[in-house]
Amino acid sequence: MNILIIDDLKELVYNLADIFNDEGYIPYKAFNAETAIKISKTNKIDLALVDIKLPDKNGHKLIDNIKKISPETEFVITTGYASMDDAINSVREKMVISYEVKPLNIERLISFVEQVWMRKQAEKELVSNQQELDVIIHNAPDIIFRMDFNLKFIYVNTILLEELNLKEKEIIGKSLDELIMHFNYMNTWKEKMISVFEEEIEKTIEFEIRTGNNIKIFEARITPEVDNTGTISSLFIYARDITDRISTQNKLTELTSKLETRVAERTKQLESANEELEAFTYSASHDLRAPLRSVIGYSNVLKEDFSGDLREEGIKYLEKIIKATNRMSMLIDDLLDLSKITKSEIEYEKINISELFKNIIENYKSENINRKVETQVEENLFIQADKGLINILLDNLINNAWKYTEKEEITIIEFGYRKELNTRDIYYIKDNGAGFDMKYEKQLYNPFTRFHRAKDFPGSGIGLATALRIIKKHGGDIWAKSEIGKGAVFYFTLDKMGKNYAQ
Amino acid sequence: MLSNTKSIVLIEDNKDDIELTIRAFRKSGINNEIHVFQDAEEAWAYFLKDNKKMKFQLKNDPAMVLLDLKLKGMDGFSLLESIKKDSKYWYVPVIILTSSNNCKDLHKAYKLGANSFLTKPVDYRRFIDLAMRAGLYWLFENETLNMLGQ
Repeated sequence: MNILIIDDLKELVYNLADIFNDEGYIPYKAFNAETAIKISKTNKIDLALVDIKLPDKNGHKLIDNIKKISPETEFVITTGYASMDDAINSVREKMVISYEVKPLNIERLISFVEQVWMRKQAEKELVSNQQELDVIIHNAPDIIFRMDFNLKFIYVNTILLEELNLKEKEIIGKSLDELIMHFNYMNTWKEKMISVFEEEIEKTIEFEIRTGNNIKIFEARITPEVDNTGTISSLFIYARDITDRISTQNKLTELTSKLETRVAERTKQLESANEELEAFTYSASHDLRAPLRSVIGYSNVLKEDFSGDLREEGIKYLEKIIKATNRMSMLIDDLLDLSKITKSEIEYEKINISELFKNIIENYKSENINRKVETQVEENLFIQADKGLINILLDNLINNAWKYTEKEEITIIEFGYRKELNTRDIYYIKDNGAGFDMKYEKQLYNPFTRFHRAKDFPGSGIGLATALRIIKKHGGDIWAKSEIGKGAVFYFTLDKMGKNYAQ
Repeated sequence: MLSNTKSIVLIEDNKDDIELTIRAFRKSGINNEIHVFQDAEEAWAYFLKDNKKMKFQLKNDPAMVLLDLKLKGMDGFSLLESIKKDSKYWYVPVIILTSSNNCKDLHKAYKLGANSFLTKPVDYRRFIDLAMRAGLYWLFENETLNMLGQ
């Protein structure tokens, strides 16, 4: 701290200079006003001790002079009793910070100077903090500014200046209206700010800054600032450039809507494909059946009423026609059933699958009383499934077993259940029939695939395809194990998680 | 040979089906009068006794109207609806006899008041069997209202 001592008593000046020097301050000495002015012109004086009675000038005048040269300088008046009233007035008028009565109390003076020094240090720190804060605010990546009650800019950071392409003096003190060319949707922006003043709560808004053809979108937080009287006198605005975010969002929205459109298109295509399939099913059921019925009908009429007119060979051919058309009729019926299963919705209920199995087997037995049949059924197995579909499933699997055991002396059909390690419930239907080569297992479930000549084992080959569809509709799996001549086992599950076993 | 005064009305546009259906009844020994119409409008005119269009004289009460759904022009559903909404004929049993057992058709037919729904079996023997059983039931077992004579 630089201290200037001004007094015509040279001895006092020297003494004080020594003392201040010892205390760690830098003393400057002046014995008259003229020297004091010179020194204060060339040195930054923090504190001046001014004798009120100088030979060339009144102390008050000198203080005025120095203040003009260096407004930062603070003053302490040293005075005798005679001019004490003047000194007191000067303190009151805040021209000087204190006065000391001569003869000086050195200890008191030193303590006072120390206080001044400490205050100066604190002020310096404050200024440096302020500067640091300024650096931070000006280098912030986001816009920061403050506005007063009249919506005039009172503080702006560098980013805002850069975005607006303006200099600080071109914006400070200007109102929003004066800068209208730089902002889009100005009225919304103003309304929002006014509402922050009125409602005294923080608000957010998006605003747009335009520079030439370029538009940037900012997301701003407007915070009310309370002054020391407790009223809101200004706003603090913090705004972030969200142009990229918005454009990404827009792209995303666009992509999503494109995707949705595509999904909708595909769904429409699928729906129309389904409708076509349904139309085909209908026409297959009606249009294909009608002529077939005529062929079958008239073949039978021929056989019944005109057998006598035909030779034996003719009757044989007629039989072949009837047999082939019957087979075709069966194919059409099975195909229709298959397409119905594909379309139908599952209705879950608790079913005793063991009972269902026994009922179907009993039907087969009663229709073929000559066959020797042994059945083994695991009793009371309960599942959650669609009763109608499960009935068709079992019927197809039993039909399959029934057909391929036809040539066995005793037919053995078994229905059972086992739990796998991963808790999946597996049901199976096992027969002792003709079996098949495992290399064809995958083809089993294609419609019309047959591994035995139709003459040996009748059927459309659609049964297992139907079974597979029913299983898939329930979310399950079907697979088989077999060997030629050693029977076959068909395994199936009804739910991937195996949660169908409900007792 | 079975016979009574009740008649059968057959509405069917397929000539083969007409012939085979009549044959099926006759083969089953049902010899009741059968009125055949190849389109629904003609059949409806018969019901309305529209003399200009009428080809047949209504001699006996129809105890069963066998109606195909897929017909040229006015379809089976429209005729069914007309009969069931008519103040004079609503009670006449209408038996749908069609090739398809489409769920929607079934639903629609019953909703419009069909009394029965039969699918034409492709198999000849089953067809004859069906004609016989349906004929015996509707002509000889079922009690019909007779309001036409009054």
